[in-house]
Amino acid sequence: MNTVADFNAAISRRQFFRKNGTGLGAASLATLLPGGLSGLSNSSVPSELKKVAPKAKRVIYLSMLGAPSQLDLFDYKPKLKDRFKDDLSSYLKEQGQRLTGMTSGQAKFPVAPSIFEFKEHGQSGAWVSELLPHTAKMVDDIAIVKSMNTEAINHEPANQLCYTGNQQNGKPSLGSWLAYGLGSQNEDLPNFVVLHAQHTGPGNVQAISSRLWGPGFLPGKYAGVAFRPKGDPVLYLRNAPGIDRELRRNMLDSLNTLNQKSYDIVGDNEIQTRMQQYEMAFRMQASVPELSDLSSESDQTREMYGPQSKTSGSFASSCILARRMMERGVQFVQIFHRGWDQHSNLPAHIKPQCEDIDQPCWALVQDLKQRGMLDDTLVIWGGEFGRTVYSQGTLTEKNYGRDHHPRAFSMWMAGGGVKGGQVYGETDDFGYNVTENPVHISDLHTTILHQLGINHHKLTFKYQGLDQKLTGVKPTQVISEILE
Amino acid sequence: MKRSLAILSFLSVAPLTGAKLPDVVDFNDHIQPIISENCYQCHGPDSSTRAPKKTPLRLDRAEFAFLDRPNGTPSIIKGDAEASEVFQRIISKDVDEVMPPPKSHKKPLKSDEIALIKKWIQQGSKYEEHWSFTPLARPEPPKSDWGQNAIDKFIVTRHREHDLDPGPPEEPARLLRRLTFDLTGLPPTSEEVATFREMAAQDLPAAIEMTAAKLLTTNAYAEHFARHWLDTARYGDTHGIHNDNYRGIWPYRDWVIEAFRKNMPFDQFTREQIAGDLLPNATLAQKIATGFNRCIPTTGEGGAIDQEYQAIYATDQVSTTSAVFLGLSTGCAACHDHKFDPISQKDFYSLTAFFRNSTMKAMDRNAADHAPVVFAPRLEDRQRFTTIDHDLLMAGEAIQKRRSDAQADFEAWLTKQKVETSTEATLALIADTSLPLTVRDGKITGQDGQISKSWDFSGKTQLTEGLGEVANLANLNIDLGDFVLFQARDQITFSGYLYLDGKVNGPLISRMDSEAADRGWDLWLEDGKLGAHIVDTWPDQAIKGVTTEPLKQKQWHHFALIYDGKAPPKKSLTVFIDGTSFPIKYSQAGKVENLETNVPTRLGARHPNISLTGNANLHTLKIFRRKLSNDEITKAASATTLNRLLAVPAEQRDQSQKEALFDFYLTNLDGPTKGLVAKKDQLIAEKETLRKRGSTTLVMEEKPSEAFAHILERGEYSLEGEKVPAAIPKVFKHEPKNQTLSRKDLADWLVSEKNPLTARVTVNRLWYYFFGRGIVETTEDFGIMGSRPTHPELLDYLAVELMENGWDLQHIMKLITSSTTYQQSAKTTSANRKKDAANLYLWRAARFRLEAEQIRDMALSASGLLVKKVGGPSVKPYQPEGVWEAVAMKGSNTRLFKQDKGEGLYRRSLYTFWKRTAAPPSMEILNAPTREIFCVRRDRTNTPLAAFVTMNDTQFIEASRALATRAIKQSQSFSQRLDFITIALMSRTLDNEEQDVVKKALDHHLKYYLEKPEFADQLLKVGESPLDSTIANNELAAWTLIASQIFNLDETLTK
Repeated sequence: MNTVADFNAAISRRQFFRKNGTGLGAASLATLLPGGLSGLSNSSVPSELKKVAPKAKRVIYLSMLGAPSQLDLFDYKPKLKDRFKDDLSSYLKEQGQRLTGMTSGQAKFPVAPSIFEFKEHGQSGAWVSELLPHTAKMVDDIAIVKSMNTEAINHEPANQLCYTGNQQNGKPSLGSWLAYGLGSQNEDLPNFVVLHAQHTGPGNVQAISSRLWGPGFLPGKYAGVAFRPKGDPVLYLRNAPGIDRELRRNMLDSLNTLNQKSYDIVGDNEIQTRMQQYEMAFRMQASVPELSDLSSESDQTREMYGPQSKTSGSFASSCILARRMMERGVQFVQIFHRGWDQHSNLPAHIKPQCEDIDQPCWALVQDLKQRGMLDDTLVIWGGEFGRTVYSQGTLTEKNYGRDHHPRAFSMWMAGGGVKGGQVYGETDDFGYNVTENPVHISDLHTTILHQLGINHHKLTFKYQGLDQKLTGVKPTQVISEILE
Repeated sequence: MKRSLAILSFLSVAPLTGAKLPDVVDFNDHIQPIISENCYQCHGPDSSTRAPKKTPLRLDRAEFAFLDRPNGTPSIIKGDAEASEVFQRIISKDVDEVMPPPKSHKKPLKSDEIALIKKWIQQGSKYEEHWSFTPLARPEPPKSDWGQNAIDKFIVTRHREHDLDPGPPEEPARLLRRLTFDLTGLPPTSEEVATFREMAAQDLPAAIEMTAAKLLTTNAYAEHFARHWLDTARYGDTHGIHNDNYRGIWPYRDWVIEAFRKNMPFDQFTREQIAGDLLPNATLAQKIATGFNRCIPTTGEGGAIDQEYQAIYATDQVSTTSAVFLGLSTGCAACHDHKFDPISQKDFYSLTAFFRNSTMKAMDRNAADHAPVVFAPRLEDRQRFTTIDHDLLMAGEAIQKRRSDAQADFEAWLTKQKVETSTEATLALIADTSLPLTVRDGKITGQDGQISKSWDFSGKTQLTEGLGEVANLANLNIDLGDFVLFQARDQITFSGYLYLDGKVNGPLISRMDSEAADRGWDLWLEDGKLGAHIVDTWPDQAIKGVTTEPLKQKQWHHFALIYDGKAPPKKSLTVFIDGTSFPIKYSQAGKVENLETNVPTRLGARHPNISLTGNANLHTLKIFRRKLSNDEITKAASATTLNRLLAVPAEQRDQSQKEALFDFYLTNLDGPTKGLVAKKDQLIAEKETLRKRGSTTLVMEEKPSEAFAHILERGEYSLEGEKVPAAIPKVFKHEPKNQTLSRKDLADWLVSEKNPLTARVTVNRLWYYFFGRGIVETTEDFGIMGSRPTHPELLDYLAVELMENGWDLQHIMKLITSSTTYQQSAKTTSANRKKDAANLYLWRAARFRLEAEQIRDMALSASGLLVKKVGGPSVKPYQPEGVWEAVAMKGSNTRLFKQDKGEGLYRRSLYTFWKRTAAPPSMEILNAPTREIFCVRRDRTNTPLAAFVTMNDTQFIEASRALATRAIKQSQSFSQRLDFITIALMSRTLDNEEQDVVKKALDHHLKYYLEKPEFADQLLKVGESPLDSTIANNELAAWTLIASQIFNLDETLTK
């Protein structure tokens, strides 16, 4: 049976039978709030889901949309220098890997070694490219996974697999599953928030869709709430012009009085839910602007996150915002940073992308550590797939492009029970195939759930007659080697 | 919430209290729910996971359950539970023996479940077909004195079983509100409320019947039910994947509206949407209807693989068709046999075959008209569009007829004609500047305003009939001095006669300063094409345009070139050659501010060193300081033609010259012909207008080959297995008439008498629209794992009613709305609440929040802002900034949202442009689906975000202001104003106590806005509809807030 639904059903049954003539009990809140903002706090987490003691209480997922090149950032392949321009046509044929329509017609597949320098860093001696000097400083805080893999070879299906667990439309997003499974820590804020950070790279920008943070077949209240850098931080949050907080309060008091009267006559619990809904909206009108207002952040903090931290909507300020949300009990924040799809001019186009994210990523991890939050906050960085070792389009000494590559790519994780200072998994000399410890996207999902204390088999929802799961039907595993 | 209700419904159908077993254990009601949940994973329809591997056991159907096992006996022995292995295994304490096995993550069966299974076996273990697959038969309504029609008899039976007391009738005005929202998606008007009250006082049932019948004839009804259907069809205005560009498919949306407006029988509705293109002599409308299957999201992503997406599209089409018409979740069978329902993987791929035989390419090129498409004029234009070609033909014939009749008139005219000595004489136009360019005595003369000028000329000349020697411009460079000056904002016409021989390039006449970024202007020839430069600063602040076609060689042409400095740069030049307008191609179209220059005007050059090359003759150049009208230009042009022809003596004219004269006469002088031509031109223009109002729309089109598909192993597009033909799933025992099936056969079967599902699923969905929950709660799933019907007999009764009444949906709607069940009050009683809190058995009326579109449409309608226009392209009402941009690609043509002005802001919500990757945010927050996949059941969550929408969204504030304005205008009295608002929104007036509450709030707001007038001003500026300035700002602002408050009342937002 469906454990979460059972639990909710039990709650609902109790609610239906509870006599609740006065006040606003927890009674009808089950239908109420977005992103699991249920007001029931931790009590909505079914005990059975807590079999494994949670290491992480919250997650920040830094999503690099478009797929950053592992070969230019983390997966160092020094031997490729000697094979500059070697044609990989016959090698690729042997591999049987399908190619995208963008390069399948290329006459040759010349090896393109990274032009960027790699060095070993930290105690662990992890190789990191010169493009990420700040990330390099924290290799002992993070676990780099070089053996990520996926089936999807184009952005849309790959993003869906990465962020909803399935290449097909209509499935709940990772964050929605968590909101459904975890309940809420904060009565005044949603517990699944999405931030769209600006990017400065001039290259290809992939589209995204609200389905990446949508609730799929889960109830709508589990949808991610997208915070916006301009205008209202949450859509329609601010009172219309000419209505201030005092007027709104007065209007709501009057509204409540009339609604209460209606409840006295009709006796429908939905009316109480409605009253609670408006009260919570009123509270959010105060709590969200407080959250989004970064003016109280110290100069020291801003310096740490770098010069872009003063620009609203930048990746740096999004990271600060994410940390503030973590402090206030938001459980899952996803920052989408687009612009990593470097089919051509990779060296020139990847640089500004890295500059956007490198220092803020480092600062976020340090900031969480300083505040004693890293231990129970899981931070994940990565894209939806990797990029090819061969050049798409013309290859010169200084310029190349890379096509999509699903078989091997790199991500990193930090905090939330992940052991820092290690590099996990290995790829072959071309960075083409995983040779050691493969990690599928679904394994990553399994691990995220596991760190949050959720057995991925138990997090199910009945839809179209099936116990649907984030991790699908194929067997998956926790990446236990990278955990403490 | 959805889920908890499902559980309740299951529990109440099968009350599993250990103490109380049913007298007769029923397979469908009691056993299937247990064994499907616990056993089918390994002993059900899916052959790939059936266990044990060597000797698989199957328990879902009788024909397999009683087969002998390797030990020689069946695993279920009828009548003997203790001897049945199935029973022994479920009660076993041995972890290796017990079923379900612990490693399956399933819990052991509960004692009451075990007791049920035991009793079922004891009673003979009788299997039944799953309830929704059983043939339809009309159940007899139970006898009862409660209620008005058959529906009530079924409903009251359940009331009695569960000891529930049905509620009293709803108060008439509220009932009317419910009825009007259910049938039209809008609230009733105050007049409708008043009329209904009167009618209801006489005879409530008759009042409802008459009102329902009337509402069912309205456009609002058609729009409302079309909107329901568009959820199922996953209609959207963009492709949905990757670029998510605009897609032309709104004619399909309009087809759905029209189908409801005409109350198209549901079987026909189904046939046309599934296979309209394959119907005999398919009409345009029937082809448009097939847009249903083209609403799939598609991609044009560079690098995407055709095969992969063809598989994805077919899966979507099968899943949607199955869920919408059959209530079956076939999608699971894409990867393996269905775990619970008898749909094998082969069945699934046989279904995809119906859709894979399409001419549609996998990649949509991000184009609006991803073929196959048809052109669809607007619905109201369609009749005219089909007749206009005939009218055009007739108009052409009439012109021809006049031609043969006009010979005598022509001859009579011709005898009176003689050659004019000078072309100029026929031109009554007075130019501001003229340059005849006839060379006399080595000089050319010109007229600039009142001043006559002359210049020396020593170049070549050409002798021209009737004109004498005309200057040849080749390699000429005559400094005309300070001659012809105009400004950037002026309107200027150049006209004259031009004769080209060979390749000609360069300026005819110019005044341009090559030292100052070419500031000035010229009349320019480029490979024989005529145009001009108008330059402030070359190249950015400059206009350059030439005709797309060159002038014909070796003949005199009349030309006119207009520069309109008041038009946008891209429209500033117009060229007429021989009276006909020629298209212009612009290579520069920048903004020009200043043309002033001190250099002289030059003939045949624009700089001492830049001259015209090639052989060009020009005469009678005139420059007008205004735009000549088309008529003036035509006249001037025709005079030239005529003179040329008349110059040839009558006896020497050849056939073509005679024809040309006749043509000239007909075109320019023959009254009847001119009338007929004008009529034809009007028709051509009309057709063009109709074409622009319409759109291409995506349709289905079959390849000539036979439909087939490959089974895809594990659903992977690249793993093609067995080739299978198009077929109906085996479980339905369909006997095909033909060897090979097409989509038309699928459509016919969907609505055939032999298919028990479509009618059940359809009436259930209708029921859901009225009661907020289907008789089967899982409207999308009638399979084994779906909810069980709360009123199975009623469901079948309605399904039979639908089929026997010609699939008339309105017949069912009338039955529902005329039932006592529907007309009950929504009030609760604590006694009933205790027994059936979820109101599964309808002891009171359904009471739930209105849907997103209803809420917005209510605001528009109640405030008088609603624009009641039906159909046409989608519109873009208010939306916060940046919602599209946040998700879009740079190249997407729906990256930047451009809000409409005027009526586009106030159309019903089903016309709102639906971008699938970012659905209209205010509606999505109120649970509208994204339209990326089908939706037959919407969620209803009450989030703070939803409260923000109805409190703060521009369209709701604006509607509140408009409503407040109307309320204030119609009365001075507080209570009458308030009544106006509450009747518009809630269909009732407030009682004294409620009025006091509002009065207090109003007084507060009045005072507040009086003290802070700038606040009032700000509030009243919201929205683009004009502000009524006759009302004091603080008063209007305070009432606006009151209207907003009433709008946000639970009672208002709730049905």
